[in-house]
Amino acid sequence: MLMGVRAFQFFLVIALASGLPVSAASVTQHDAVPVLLRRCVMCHGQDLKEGELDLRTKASMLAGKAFVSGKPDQSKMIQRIVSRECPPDKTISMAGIERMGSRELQILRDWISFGAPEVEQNFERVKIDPESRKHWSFQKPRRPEVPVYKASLATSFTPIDSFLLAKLKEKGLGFTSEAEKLTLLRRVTYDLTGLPPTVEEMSQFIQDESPSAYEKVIDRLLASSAYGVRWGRHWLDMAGYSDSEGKRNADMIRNYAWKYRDYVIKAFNEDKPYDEFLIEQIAGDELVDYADVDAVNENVIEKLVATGFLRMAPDGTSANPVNRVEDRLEVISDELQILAGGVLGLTMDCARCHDHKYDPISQRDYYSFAAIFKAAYDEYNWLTPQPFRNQWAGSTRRHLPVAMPAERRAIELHNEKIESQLKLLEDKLKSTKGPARKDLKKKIDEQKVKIRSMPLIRALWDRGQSSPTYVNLRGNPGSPGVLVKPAIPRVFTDESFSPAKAVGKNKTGNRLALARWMTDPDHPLTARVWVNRVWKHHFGKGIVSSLDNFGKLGAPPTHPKLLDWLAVDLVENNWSIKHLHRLICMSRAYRQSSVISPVAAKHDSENKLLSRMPMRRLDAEEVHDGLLAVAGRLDMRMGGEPDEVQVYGRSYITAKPGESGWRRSIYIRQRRIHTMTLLQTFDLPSMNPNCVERVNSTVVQQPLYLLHDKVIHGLARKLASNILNETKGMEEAVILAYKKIINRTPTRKELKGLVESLDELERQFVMAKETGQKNKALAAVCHALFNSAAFLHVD
Amino acid sequence: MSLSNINRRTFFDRVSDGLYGVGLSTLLMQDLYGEKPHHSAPLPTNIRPRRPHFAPKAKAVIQFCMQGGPSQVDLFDPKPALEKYHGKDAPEEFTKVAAAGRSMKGKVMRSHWKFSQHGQSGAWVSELLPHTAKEIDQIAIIRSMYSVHENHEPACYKWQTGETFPGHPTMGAWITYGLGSVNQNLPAYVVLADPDNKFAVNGVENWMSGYLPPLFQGTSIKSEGTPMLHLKPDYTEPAGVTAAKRNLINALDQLHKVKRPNQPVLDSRIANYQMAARMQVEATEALDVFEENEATRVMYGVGEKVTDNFGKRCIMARRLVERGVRFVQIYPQGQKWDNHNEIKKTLPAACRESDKPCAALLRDLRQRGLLDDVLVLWGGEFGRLPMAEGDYAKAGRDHGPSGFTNWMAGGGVKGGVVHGETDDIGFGAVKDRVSIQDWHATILHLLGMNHEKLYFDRNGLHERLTHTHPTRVVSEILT
Repeated sequence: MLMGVRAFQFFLVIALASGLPVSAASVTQHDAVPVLLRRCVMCHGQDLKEGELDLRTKASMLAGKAFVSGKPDQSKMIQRIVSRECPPDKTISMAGIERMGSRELQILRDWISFGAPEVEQNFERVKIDPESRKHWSFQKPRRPEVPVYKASLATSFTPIDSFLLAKLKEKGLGFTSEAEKLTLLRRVTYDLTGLPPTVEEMSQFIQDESPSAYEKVIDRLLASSAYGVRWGRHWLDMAGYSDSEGKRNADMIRNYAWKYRDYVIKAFNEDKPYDEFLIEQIAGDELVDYADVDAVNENVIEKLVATGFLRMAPDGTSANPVNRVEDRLEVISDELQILAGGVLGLTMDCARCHDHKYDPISQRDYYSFAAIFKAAYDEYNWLTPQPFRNQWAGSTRRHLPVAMPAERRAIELHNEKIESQLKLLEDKLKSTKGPARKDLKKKIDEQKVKIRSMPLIRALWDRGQSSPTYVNLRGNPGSPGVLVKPAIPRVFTDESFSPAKAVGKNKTGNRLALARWMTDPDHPLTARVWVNRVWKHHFGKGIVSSLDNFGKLGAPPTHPKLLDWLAVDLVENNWSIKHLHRLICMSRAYRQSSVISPVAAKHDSENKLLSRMPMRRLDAEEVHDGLLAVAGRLDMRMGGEPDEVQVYGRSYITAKPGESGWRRSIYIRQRRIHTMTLLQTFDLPSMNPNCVERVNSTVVQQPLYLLHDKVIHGLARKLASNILNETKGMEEAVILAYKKIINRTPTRKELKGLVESLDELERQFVMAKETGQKNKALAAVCHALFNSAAFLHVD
Repeated sequence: MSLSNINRRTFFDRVSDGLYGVGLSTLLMQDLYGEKPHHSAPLPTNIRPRRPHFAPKAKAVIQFCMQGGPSQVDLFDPKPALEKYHGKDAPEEFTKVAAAGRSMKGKVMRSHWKFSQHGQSGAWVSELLPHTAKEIDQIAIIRSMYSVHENHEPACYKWQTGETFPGHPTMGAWITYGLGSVNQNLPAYVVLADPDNKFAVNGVENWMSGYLPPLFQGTSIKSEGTPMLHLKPDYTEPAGVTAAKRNLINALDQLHKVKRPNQPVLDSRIANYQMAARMQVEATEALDVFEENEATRVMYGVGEKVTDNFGKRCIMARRLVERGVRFVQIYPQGQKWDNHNEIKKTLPAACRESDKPCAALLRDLRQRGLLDDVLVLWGGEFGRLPMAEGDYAKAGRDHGPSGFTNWMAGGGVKGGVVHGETDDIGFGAVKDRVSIQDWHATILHLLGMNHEKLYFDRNGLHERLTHTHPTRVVSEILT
C-alpha cells in the first residue's frame, strides 16, 4: 500500500517532468495543497488570511474565489502567481519562501484544469510484522525474582547487589573491599551535588559510628538544593539546554530559556515523580487554562515553563535567509529526536527519510509521530524564536505573556498611567513648534522606556489546529507522499490514536495523549531508559551502554534482569527519582572501593560486571564549582537570569564574578559559542542539538589551564589566606589544605612531602626577596594540590 | 624527530612499532574502522598516530584559508570575453545557473590586470601574483570549483565542515581524528590566525571539532607574543617556585598512583602533565622563526612591512609540519579577499600580503624535499562575480559561488595542471565541476583516507565530512 502510493508519486514526477499528458485522476488535492502550503499559506492560511483568502482546502479556496474550476488561466490564483504579484517580491525571502517553480505551477494548473478533483485518503494503518515486536526492549518490564546467594543475605546487601553478584559469580568474582569512609563521602558528595564535602561534613561522618551514618549522609545530600543543580544538569544535557539560538555564527541570546533551567532544577529538588515531570514537559500547556488570565497561578506558569523542553533545539529561523521550511523541519526533527532518543531510547530520526533500516519504525510512523506535535510545531505556520531586524511583518513569536493576576494588574495600572502621560505629551507635541519640540520628544522617549511588558515564557503551546501532515519522501518537503494522522508508532500499539482531554479551549490534546501513553506504568521503554540513565551517571556506564538507543543496534543490556527490576521498582515507588538514588547509593556495589584486584583486572578488565567502583575524572562543572567551593569563592545563589561571560581576545572566556564570587557553572550563560574556556577544556559539550553522553578527554590544555591560569592561581592565594586565618602552625595549615582539596587526611609520606615542599617554597620566595613568603608558599602548595591527580579524580 | 627524517616507511613503522605498541595501534584501527560500526565505539581520546586506509601521498597539510572569495577572473582564470561584454548585462545563458532570487544588477567588468603564461606548463597567472607564478609548475589549479551558498557564513561552514550551518566538525578536526599526530608534544591541528585577532567570518568556528571530542579542534597559536593560551603562566613567580611546585605535583601523583595500580586513567593523566611540560619547551622552539637563517627569512618576506607577519606564519607552518603537526591553517586578516569595493586597490593589497610568503613556502618545502609529503591548499569559500559592483570607477565584485578557483600543491598532487573550466565570462563552472565535497574527498584521499570510511558514529548515524552528498575524488590532478 505504502509502496503503491510512492511509486505513483514517482510516476507523477516523471510524467510532469517529461511533459507527458497527465490523466485527470492522477492530480488531486494531495498534489495541489502541499504546493500551496509551501508557497502561499503563510499569508492565506490559519492565522493570516490576506484578502480574506484561505488556501488550505478546496472548500476555502472556492469560498475565496481563488480559482475557476477547469479554467486555470482565468483563475485569480494562477494569474497572480504568473504575474509575480504573489508572493510579493518585497516579502518573499523575509517570509522564508521561494517563488513557485514551474513544475509546481503546472501541478496547480493541471489540478484546476481537471476540475480540482478531491480523493478521500484511506488511513489504513501500516501492517506490522509480529516478529518485529519481539525485540527485548519492546516488552513490558516485569519484576524478576531477586537471585538468592549466601553472600547476598548479609544485611548490607541490596537487591541490586544480588543481581550483580549473580553475574560476578559466574566469573568467579565478587565485589572488592568496601571503600574507606572518606573516600565514600567524597564520591557520594560529588556524585549527588557536584561539590566536594566540607571539612565539617568529613569530621561529622567520621565521628558518627552509628550503622545509619552513611544513610544519613545520603539523605542530607538529597535534601540539599545542590542536588537539583547537579542532577538537573544531567537532564539539561539530554534536553540540549542553551541560552542561545545556535545555527548561526551570531548565536543570538535566547532570553527566558533560564526559566526552564530553573524548572528542571526545582523539579529534581522536589523529587517530582518522573511521570509527572515528563507529562509537564511534553504537554504542560494542555494541563492548564492559561487563557483565563484571572486564574493564572504559580502552577499555570510552571506548566508552561516546563514545555521549554521542546524549545531547546538550535534554531536559526529568526533570521530571514535561514527561515525556510527546510530549516524549520530541521528544528522539529532535532526536537523530536531529543525526545525520542533521550526519553524513549528510539532512533526515530532514522525514519525521517526512509523506513528505519533496523527497527520496526516506518517512515509513516515518523510522520504520524510528528503529526502529534503539529498543532504546536507547524512548519507552515511557524512561530519565530525572537525578533530580528527586517523580520517579516506577519511573523509571530513563540513567547507567551503570562503573569500572576496581581502582577498583571500592577503592570497594566503602571502602563495606563504612563500612557495617559504619553498622550498628554504627544498632544502637546502636535501644537508645539521650534526648539521646545526637541525637549518634548526627549520626554516622550523617557516615558516610552518606562512601559513595562508582561513577563514572557518561552513555551510550546497547542494552537488547536494545524496544517495537514504528509510523509516527506526522502525527507524532502517538496516531495509529499501520503497524508497521515497523529499516531503512536505502530510497533507499540494496535489501537488508533485518540487525543486526551486538554484543560482549556481550543487545544487538540494530542501531546497530552502522547505524554500519558509514554508514562503508562506498563510502557516498555520510558522507565527502563530513565533508570539506565540514572545508573550511568552513578556508575559511569549504562546497563545499556547506548543510552539513547534501545533498538536492535543499541547495545544489549549487561544485566537485563536488574534493568527490569529497577524499572518496575521506580514505577511502583511513584516514579520517585530520589528513591532510585537511595537504592543505588546504598548498594554494596556503589560502596566498594575503586581498587582493581589482579583477578578483576584479568577477568573483568572493562568493569562490565562492576567488580569495583570505576575511578573517574571530575567533569567540567565539578572542576569549576569544586575549586571555587574549596577556595570559599562559590556563590550558592540559586536560579534567575544567567551571569554573563567575559570574552578576552576571542579565545579566553571566563565568567563575570559578583561580590561574593562566582556562581555554579549552570548559572553562567550557556551559549553555544562563548563557552567558558575552563569548562570547554574539561569537555563541556556544545549543544548541537543536545548531549546524550559526554566525552571525557585527557588533553594537554587541561594541565596547562590549571597550572597557568591566573584565576586558578588567585584561588590558591585566596584559599591559603583563609587557611592561615583558621590555623596555627604550618603543618596544621598544610593538613587543612589537603583536607579541603583532596577530602581526606594526608598519609605520613604525603605529609612529609608537603611539609618539605612548603619549606623549600618558602626558601625560594625568600631568595627571590618576595614579601609574605609563608602565605605565598602555602598558596603554592594549594596550587600544586589543585593540580594533583588526587584532586582531579574520584576514587 | 623532524618530518624530513621520517620517510613513509618509518612513519608506518612508528605507528605500530614499540613506540606506541602494535596492540594499541591495532586497537585504535578497530575503533575507527572496526567490524561493528553500529555500536558507539569508545572514542580515541588521544592524538597518537593512526594508520590511514591506504598508503598516503601526503602526511601533513598546510591550508591557506583565503576567506572572503578571491576573484578568479583577476587571478587564475583569464577571460578574454570579458572585453566583449564589458559594460553590458551578463548573458542569461551564463547566469542562469545562479540561485533564484539573486540580484544580477551589475554590468560585466573586465579585469584590471594582465595575465601571462608561466613555467613549463604555461599556466596563466595574473600579474598580481608574480611570486606564485614562479612556482606554478608545482601547482594544480582547479578552475571549476563551485559552492552552494552565496553568503560568507553558510559558505564558510560548507567549505570547512561540508554543511552550511555550525555543529559539524571541520576538515582539520576530521583529519586529526582520522590520523592522529606524529608529535605528541605539539597540538595536532594548529591555526595561525591574524595576530591582532581580526578574524574572518565565523571566527573560531572555522576550526571547531563539532561533535568530535574537543581534542581534535584546532589550537590557535599566536604569531606574536605568547603563542598559545596558557602555554606560559599568566602570572609571575620565581623560577625556583615553579620547579618546586612541579616536583611536589610529581611526588604526590606518584604516591597516589602506587596505591592505585592498573588505573590507565592515572597513567594517561600523568603522561599528560609531562606532555604539558614538554610542550612549553617544544612549542616555543618550533615557533621561533629567528632560528631560521636570514636568507630564508628574507625569502618569506619577513622584515618587509607588508609581508612580515604573513611570512612569519608561513615559516612557523613549515617548522610545525617538520615536527609532525598534521594540519596547519593560515588565515589572512579579516575579510581581505572580500573585495566588494574598489577592487583595483583592495585585491592587490590582499595579494601583496600573501603572494611572496606563499610562494616562498612552496619553494622552501620543495628545496627541503618536503613538498612530496606536505599538501598545500589555497583558496576561499567561493569566488567573485565577473560583474561590477557599484560605480565602475570604484567598483568591486560581489560573491560568486557558481564557479571559482582553488589550487593545491605537493603531497601527491600533479604540478603544472589546470583542471576544469568556467564559462566564457567566468561566472559558473561548466567543465569537470568540482564540488566542496569532491574537494574534501580529494584531500582525504591524498592523506590515505577514503571519505566514506572515515566516519564518526553519532547516535547511530554515520557522520562523514562529505555527509551524504554525491562525491567524487578529483583523480585527474593526482600523481
